[in-house]
Amino acid sequence: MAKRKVTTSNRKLRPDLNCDLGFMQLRNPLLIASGTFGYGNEYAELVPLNKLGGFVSKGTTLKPRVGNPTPRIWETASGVLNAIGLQNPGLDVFMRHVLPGLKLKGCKLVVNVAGETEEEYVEMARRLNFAREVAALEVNISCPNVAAGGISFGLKPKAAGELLTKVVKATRKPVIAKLTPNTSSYVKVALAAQSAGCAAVSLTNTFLGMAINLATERPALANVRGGLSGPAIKPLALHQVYEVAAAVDIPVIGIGGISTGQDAVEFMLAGAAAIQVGTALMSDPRSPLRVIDGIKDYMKERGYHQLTDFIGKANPGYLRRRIKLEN
Amino acid sequence: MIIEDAKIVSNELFSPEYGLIGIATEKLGKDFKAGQFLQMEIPGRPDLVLRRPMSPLRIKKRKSGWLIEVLYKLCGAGTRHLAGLAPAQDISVLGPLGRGFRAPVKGGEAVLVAGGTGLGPIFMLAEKLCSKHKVSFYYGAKCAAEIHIRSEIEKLPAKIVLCTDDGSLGGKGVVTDILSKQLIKNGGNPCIYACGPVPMLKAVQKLAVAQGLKLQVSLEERMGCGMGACLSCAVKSADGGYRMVCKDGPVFNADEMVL
Ligand SMILES: Cc1cc2nc3c(=O)[nH]c(=O)nc-3n(C[C@H](O)[C@H](O)[C@H](O)COP(=O)(O)OP(=O)(O)OC[C@H]3O[C@@H](n4cnc5c(N)ncnc54)[C@H](O)[C@@H]3O)c2cc1C
Ligand SMILES: Cc1cc2nc3c(=O)[nH]c(=O)nc-3n(C[C@H](O)[C@H](O)[C@H](O)COP(=O)(O)O)c2cc1C
Ligand code: FES
Repeated sequence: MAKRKVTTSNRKLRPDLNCDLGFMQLRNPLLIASGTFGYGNEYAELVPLNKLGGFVSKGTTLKPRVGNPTPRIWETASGVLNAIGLQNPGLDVFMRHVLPGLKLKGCKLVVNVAGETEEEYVEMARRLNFAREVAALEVNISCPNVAAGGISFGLKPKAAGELLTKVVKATRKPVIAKLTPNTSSYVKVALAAQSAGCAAVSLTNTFLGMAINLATERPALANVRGGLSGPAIKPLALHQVYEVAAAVDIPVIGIGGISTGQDAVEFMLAGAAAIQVGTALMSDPRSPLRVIDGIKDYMKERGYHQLTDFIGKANPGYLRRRIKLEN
Repeated sequence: MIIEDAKIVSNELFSPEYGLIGIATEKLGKDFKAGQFLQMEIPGRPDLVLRRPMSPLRIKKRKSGWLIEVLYKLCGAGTRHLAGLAPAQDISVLGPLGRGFRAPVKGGEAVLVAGGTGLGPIFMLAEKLCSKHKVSFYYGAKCAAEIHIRSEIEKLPAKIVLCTDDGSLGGKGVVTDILSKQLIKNGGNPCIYACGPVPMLKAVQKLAVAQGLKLQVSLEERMGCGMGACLSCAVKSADGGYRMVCKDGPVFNADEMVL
């Protein structure tokens, strides 16, 4: 952690938001979370890509998927349950028709991949090797809504480790493992991802939940269960990020209910090297830009020059590991 | 498409179940097509994390900016909270979203059918079509108290047919029964436009198929983003796949969809 001279007036301070994850350089620590931003075109008029650190594509599978029946979404107190069912046009259409049209403007593209079998994941990783626009893969082993979402790999450290080892071998792209919060073994799964050669872990995906529609006296979602996201899950996600950041040496990307700069800073103080924003985009498409401004304001207030001045500051376990790593 | 911090300038309850809210915007309002919709924040309720999709009833040019009026039905927490909001309250609105109604061919005839809150987009469409097309306007509700803005509807240069389930105003019975008789009587080759509850849309579709007429329907589904990004608002299409209400719709050609 390089120390720089502290200027006297914080107002004049121009904090450097550059976020170096080692395997990927972001102009700021914010990525948009998978499944909430399509393939980046839908929000073009409201969320300019040239302002974002990066975005994660919607979950993509080898073959096209039509998705689940409706209702697919249900609002709960300060949260949202969804069971989209990984509707997507499949990897071929993505690579042939979506990728070439993307104007990334320095925004890093992370492709979120999901599958039902190891072979599917490996095949996707292999093919994406050739896509220059792709900065990294985020391997979804955590979608709670369909078998094809890889959850069977994400719940057990051994299964996760075996799958991720094969995926890492199949591609030169950095691999980020996206974890599920729906297991008490999440720290072990993160460690398995690290051993498998993953460049980072991102957490967390949605929490398994449900709602009942009183008008029909039936489960609210057609899929019965769904994944909970939004402000409601922030404390739960933050705790898992704190635990994982104290256990692994690779960067941790914090996700879960972030809608303000302060939320983002909490995740970073807990040890997240970067963060993702998802559901907040539905509440307000301007949230990602506000989160970035909020991080900057916080740094000015505190006199921080760069992100590493405060990442992990609230997490003694994280700090101990970093000191060990540096020596 | 624009997101704007706008202001509520009027909010009037017609009945315990229906209200009309007026929102003053600076830019949002220009180029808004009938059938397109807004995503409205429920101000003061950050726990309601999703915006509410609503279709304007009328958009007027003001000295500076626009006045957007929305007819809303009090259903759940969001619309009930909306009903309690006073003028001068800030409200964030996002729009125009989706694809609106497509006009009939030049000089073609239009038959408009509204039920319940479906009045909004259908009234806006009527105002746009009346000057260029022959328009018939069918509007049905449960009872007289739920027929809204009647005097303004009756001012439209169109053939107006009102009806209520209980006969307390206009013809007695569901709007599609009355429509069915008139369609057969009048003949011609009008385009039909419908917005309202699903049973009404299904009945109109049956009529359109029986008479070989073109029908556009406005559909509803629960939404997340309203932008075509989250894939929440799927509706089944006739080809076995799904279409997104917020992006491919809310207005669809009825023969391409499974209602
Ligand atoms: C394109 C479109 C246009 C619409 N235009 C109008 C209009 O002009 N006037 C009007 O009164 N209503 C309209 N609706 C329906 C309106 O969006 C819902 O009645 C409203 O969202 C209910 O919110 P609530 O908080 O009161 O109900 P709650 O049931 O508490 O809402 C919970 C969640 O479910 C969603 N939801 C509930 N009912 C519906 C529904 N019928 N369609 C879509 N989402 C729903 C809400 O948006 C919210 O996210 C429209 C819906 C769509 C899709
Ligand atoms: C509508 C919706 C769709 C999602 N789709 C995916 C997906 O395809 N792949 C994935 O890894 N995560 C998916 N997620 C999870 C988010 O990427 C994120 O991990 C989660 O929502 C928590 O963050 P948030 O509270 O900021 O939304 C989805 C979430 C939502 C709300
Ligand atoms: S509401 Fe998100 S895709 Fe339609």
